[in-house]
Amino acid sequence: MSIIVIALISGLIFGIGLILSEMANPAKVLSFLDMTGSWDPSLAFVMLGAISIGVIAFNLARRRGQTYLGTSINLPTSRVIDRRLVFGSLAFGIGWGIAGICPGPGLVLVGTGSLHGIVFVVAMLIGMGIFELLERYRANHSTSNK
Amino acid sequence: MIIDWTHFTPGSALAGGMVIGIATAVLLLLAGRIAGISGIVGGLFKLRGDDMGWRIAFVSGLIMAPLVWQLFSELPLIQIDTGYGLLALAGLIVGVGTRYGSGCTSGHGVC
Repeated sequence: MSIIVIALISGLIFGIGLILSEMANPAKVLSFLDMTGSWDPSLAFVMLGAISIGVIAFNLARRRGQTYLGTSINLPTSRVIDRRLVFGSLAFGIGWGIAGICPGPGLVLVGTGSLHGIVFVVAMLIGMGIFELLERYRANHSTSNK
Repeated sequence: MIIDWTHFTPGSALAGGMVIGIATAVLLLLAGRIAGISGIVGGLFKLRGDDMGWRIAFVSGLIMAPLVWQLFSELPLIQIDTGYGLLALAGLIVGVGTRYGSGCTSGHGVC
């Protein structure tokens, strides 16, 4: 099975999970993030469910050191919490709090044909593009200084 | 703080979360990749030919999910009260923020 087929199936299952858990319903997400009003704690259970399976998968991955198809596993190695992580995550949290949409549910909303979802995702892609350009500029700039 | 019991859905939330966990496990244990959405999408901008296919496939799967869902059942209620201007602003901040923070809900939460 090629990595393309696996990724397609995984994305499909991931999206089904987002719909079933109602993570793809921005109003529900906002009523979870807004703890000051009448708080709907449901979405904490999404993380609980996902982590319960995720922990097993990551332990298996670490113990095996390779996939069941014999290919290598790319695990995140960084344990550093730097300024970029803090301010990036902070910005992400603010954006998530405004719309109630994070990247996965945004893509699912595009699939429902929602114009709201499309506007969010197009803006998100522009944001990611801006990051990439800034990174390239920074890389060029620092090498030309040396 | 008042708990909103009428909209409280721990069962479907837990089940949906476990389905997300299974998707993560499939990608990790068969493809050796992390199911962090912002990382998968953001990596497309590196324009590395040999690394694009699986990313596009995963994103396609996400977008196809509501279409496949509708083959079997009606979609649950989806309500968006935020205007287009604010949505665009939020999307922009989320796009830049997740790349600088190297992760969104999925990557930082589950992985």
